[in-house]
Amino acid sequence: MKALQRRTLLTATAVLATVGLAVSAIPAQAAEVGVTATGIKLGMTLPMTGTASLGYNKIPGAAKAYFDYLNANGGINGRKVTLVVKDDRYVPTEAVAKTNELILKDKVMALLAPLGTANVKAVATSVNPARRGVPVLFVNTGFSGFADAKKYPTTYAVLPSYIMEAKIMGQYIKENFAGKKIGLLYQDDDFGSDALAGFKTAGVNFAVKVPYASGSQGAAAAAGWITKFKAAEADVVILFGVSSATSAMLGTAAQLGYKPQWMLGSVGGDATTIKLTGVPAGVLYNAIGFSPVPATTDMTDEYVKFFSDIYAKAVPGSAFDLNVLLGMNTAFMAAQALKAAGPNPTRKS
Amino acid sequence: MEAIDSKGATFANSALVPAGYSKTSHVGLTGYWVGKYAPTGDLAPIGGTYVTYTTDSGSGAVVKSTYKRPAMPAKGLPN
Amino acid sequence: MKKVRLLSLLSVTALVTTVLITAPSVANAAPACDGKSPIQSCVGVTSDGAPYAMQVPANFNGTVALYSHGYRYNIDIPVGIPLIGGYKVTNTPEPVPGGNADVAKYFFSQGIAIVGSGFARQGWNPDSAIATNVELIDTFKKQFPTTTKVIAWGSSLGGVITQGLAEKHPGLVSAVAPMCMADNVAPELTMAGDFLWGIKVLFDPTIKAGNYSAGAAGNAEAYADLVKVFTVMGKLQAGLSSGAWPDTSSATGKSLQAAGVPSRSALLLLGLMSGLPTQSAHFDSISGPDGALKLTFPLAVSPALAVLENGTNAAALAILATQDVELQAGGAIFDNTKTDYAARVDTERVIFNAALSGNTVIDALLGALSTANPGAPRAVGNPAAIAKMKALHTNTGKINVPTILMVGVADPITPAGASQRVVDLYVEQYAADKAAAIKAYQTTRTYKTPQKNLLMLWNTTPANYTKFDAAGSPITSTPAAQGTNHCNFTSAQLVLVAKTLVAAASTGKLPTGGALNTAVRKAGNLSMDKGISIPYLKSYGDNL
Repeated sequence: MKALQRRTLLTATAVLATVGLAVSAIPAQAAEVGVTATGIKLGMTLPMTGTASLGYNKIPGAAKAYFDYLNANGGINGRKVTLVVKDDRYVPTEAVAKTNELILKDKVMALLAPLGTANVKAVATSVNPARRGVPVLFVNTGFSGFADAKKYPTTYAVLPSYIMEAKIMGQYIKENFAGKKIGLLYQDDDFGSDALAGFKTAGVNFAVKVPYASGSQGAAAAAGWITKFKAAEADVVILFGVSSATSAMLGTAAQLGYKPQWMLGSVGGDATTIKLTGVPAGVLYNAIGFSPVPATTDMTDEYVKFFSDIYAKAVPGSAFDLNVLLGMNTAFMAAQALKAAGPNPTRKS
Repeated sequence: MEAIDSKGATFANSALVPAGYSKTSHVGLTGYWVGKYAPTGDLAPIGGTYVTYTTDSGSGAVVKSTYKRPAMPAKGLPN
Repeated sequence: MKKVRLLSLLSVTALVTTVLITAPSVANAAPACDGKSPIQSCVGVTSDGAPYAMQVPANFNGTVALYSHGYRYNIDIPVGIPLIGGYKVTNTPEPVPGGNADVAKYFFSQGIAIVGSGFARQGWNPDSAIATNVELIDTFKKQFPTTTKVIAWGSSLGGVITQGLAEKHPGLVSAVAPMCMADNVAPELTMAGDFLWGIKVLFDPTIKAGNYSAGAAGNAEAYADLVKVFTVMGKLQAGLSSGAWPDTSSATGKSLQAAGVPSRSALLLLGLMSGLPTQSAHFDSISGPDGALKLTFPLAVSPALAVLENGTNAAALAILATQDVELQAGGAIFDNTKTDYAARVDTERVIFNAALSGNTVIDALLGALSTANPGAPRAVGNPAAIAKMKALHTNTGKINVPTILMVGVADPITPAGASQRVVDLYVEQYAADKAAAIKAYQTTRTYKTPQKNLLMLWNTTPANYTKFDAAGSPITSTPAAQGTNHCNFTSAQLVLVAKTLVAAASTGKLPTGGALNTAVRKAGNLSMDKGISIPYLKSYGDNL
C-alpha cells in the first residue's frame, strides 16, 4: 500500500514536471491581485452617508491618515498602501453590491474593516470572500461568530466580542452593583443576542430587558423605553446598542429628568459621537464605560499621542475620537499584517 | 493571512488587551478596561489607571489581565 | 440589412401560421416542406403527436439548432383569473426563443437551420420532451441528409430538457445551452410548496396549496387557489407600509398581527425560507426615496416588496405545476412534515434582521410556522406519489458536451442556484477528469489536459435600479431590471449564446480568451466571474 502510494506520488510529480515545462514558457505568474511593484490596494465598505453613518464616517479618513503617513515613510517594502472606500449606507444588499465592485472592478487585495454584522454576513453569503480567497481583515463588528475560522476562513475579527463585553460588564455589576435592579436596552438582532448570551454566562439577572429592532430607534421610541425602565424601578440601566440608540436614550432622559446609573456599551459609547447629536456632556457624567484601547484624551499614551498628531495634520479640525482611534489602529494592524506577509505579499501569505 | 494566523497575536497595536489570532481562531482583542465618563463627557479609567479584564466568548472566567502592551515600533511603522 | 431582419421576422411568423393550417395529420409522416427560398419551412408531427417546425436556409451548412421551449400550463385558464386568465393550452412549435427574430436572423446568416417542437404534452414534461427531441433530430437528419451537427438549447423547463438530452444522448448533440434552467422537479416544487404552504397557514387557510382532486374538480380547486393567492398578494401590498394583515388571515396570522408583527416581515420570512430572491423586477433592496425613507426603505421595506413581486410572478406556476405533477404522480407530492424552517433562515435572519423586525418578531414567526403550532398544520404528502415524482426525469448535472449556462441571478422561478449546482458539480467532474488524465499518463506517457466544457454566464442585476416618483413612491411600470424576472434576456444576450454555441459546435470546444470576453461584455449585463456563489434551492439543505 505504502509503495503504491509512493509510486503514484512519483508519477504525479513527473506529470507536474511535464506540465511545468509548458507553463514555464509563459511569463511568470502576475503578482497577487491588488499588489503591484509600487502599491497595495485595499477596499472598505461602511456607511458614509445617511442616518447610520454618524461617527463611523470618520473611520476611512482615520485609516487613510495612517496609510498616508506610512506611505510617506517608505510604505510596505516600498509599496504604497491605498484604500478604496465605498458607501453602503448600512444596507446589506448594497454592501454586497459594493463589495463585488471592490473585488471585481477595483481589484483590491483585501477588504479592510467592513462594518456591521448583517452586512458582513450578507457579504460572506453572497460575495463569498472565502471562496475567492479574499482576506476580510479586521471586521468592524463584535459579533462573536466571525472569529470562527472554520466558517469564515478568510475573515478576521478585531474588536472584542459583544459576549466578552457583556461578561466583563456582568463582572463589574457583581462587584459594584450587587443587589441593585438592573435594566438592559439591547438591539434585537445578533448584536443583542451576543450580549444576552454574555450576560447569561456572567449570571446577571435583569429587572427589565428592552429590545429594539434595528432601525426603530429614535426619540419617540426612547420615551417608551424610559417608561419601561421606570416601571421596573431600574437602578442601573445598560445601553447595549448603537450610537443613535444611546443618543436618543440619553437625550430623551435628560429632557424627562430621568437619571439612573448609566452603563454604556462600547459600540454606542463614543462621547464625541453622542455629543454631536446634541446630548449635553453632563448627562454622561459618571456613566460607566468600556474600551479596549486607551482613552482618546490620554496624551500620555504613546499611540494616542502619535495617532492624534497624524490625524490632526491629515484631517484638521476633526475631533480625535474612538472611531478615529480604532480606525487608525486597524490600519496600523493591517500594515503589520502586510509587512509580516513577506517581501511579495499575497492574499494567502 | 498566514502572517496573521502565525504572528497576529503579537502585532504591536494600541490596544491594552491581547489579541487571540491563531491558525484555528480568528478572534481579535479579548477584553476591556472599565472607565467612568468625566464631566466633559470623555471616558477615563476609574482611579486614573487602566485596569483591564480579559475573557473569551464562551464560558471562560473574566480575569484581570496581566497583559503588558509592547512598546510602539519606532516612528509608528510596522516592524 | 433591414430587409433581412424583416424577412426572418416574417418567416418566423409565417411558420406559426403554417403549422396551424397544414401540419400533416398523420403522426410520424415525413415533414411537409414548402420548398421556398431563401428560407424553406417544413412542418410535421412526431410519433407521439408533437407538432414541429423546421426552417432551413438555402445555404444550409449542415448545422441545425434545436430549441426547447419552457413550461406551458397544461390546463386552460378562465378569463376571469388575474394576470394569466384567458390562456389556452397550446403546442405551437417554437424553433427559436419566443420567436426572436434577431436570433433567427443570426442563424440563417450563418447557413444554420432552426427546429423546434411544441412537445406532445405541456406541464412538467421532460420525459416525453426528451424523447420528442430525439425523434425530431432523426427526422431532420432524414429530411436534410447533409446535416452534420446539432446544437440544442432551451429555456426554463426547456433548459432541463436540453441538459437531459445532453446527459442521455451526448452523441446526438455537439453543444448545448440550458438557459434560465429549472432545477429538477423535487427541489423546484419544494420551493413552490414551501411558499404556498406559508401563504396558506398565515394569510388564508382556505387555500388548498396542493393535494388537488383529479379532473375538472382539481382544475376548479387550482383556479380558486390562483384567485385566492393573487388576492392575498394584493392585500399584502395594500398593507405593506402599515403592516396590516389580510382579513382572510388564519388564527395564527391574526395572533401574530395582534402581537405587532408587520405582515411585510411575515411575507419576507416566507420568501426567505422558500428561497425566493430578495431582489425583483423593480425592487433592488438598495435604493430609497430621498427624504426620511432613504435608509428605512431599502433596510426595512424593499426586501419584502421584492418577495411580493417575485412571489406573485411565481405563484401561478407554483399552483399549476404542483397540480400537473400531482396528476402525473397520482397524489400529493409536497410534504413538509420534517422541514425545519428555522434552520432554513439561519443566515438570512441576520442579514434581513431589520426588514424582519428583529429577533423577537422572527422567533414569533418561526414559532408560528413550527411543527409545535397546531394552528399551522404541516402538509402531508403521499409517499407513493412522491416516489413517482422522483422517478420523473431527473438531471444529474453531468456535462458531456460543450455547455453554456445563462441565468439571471435573481430569477424568481428558476433560481440561479440550480445553475450554481451544475457549476459546482462540474468543478468536481473536471477534477476527476484531470485525475484520470494523470492516471492515463502512467501508461501512455502523454498527458492530455482535459477540455473545459462549461461556460457559465450570470445575468447580473444593475448596481441599483429602483426608481421613485416625485412623491417618493416606487415606480413599477418600467421594464424589469436585468438579472431579475424569469428568463429576462435581451436579444443581444440570446444571440451571444447562439454565436458561442455555433463556435463550440464547429471547433468541438468552447471559445475562451479575449474574443469571448469582448463578446460577453458587448452583450451587456453578463458576468463570467468564477467567484460568484449563489445558494442552492432550499430543499438541498434538507438532505444535508
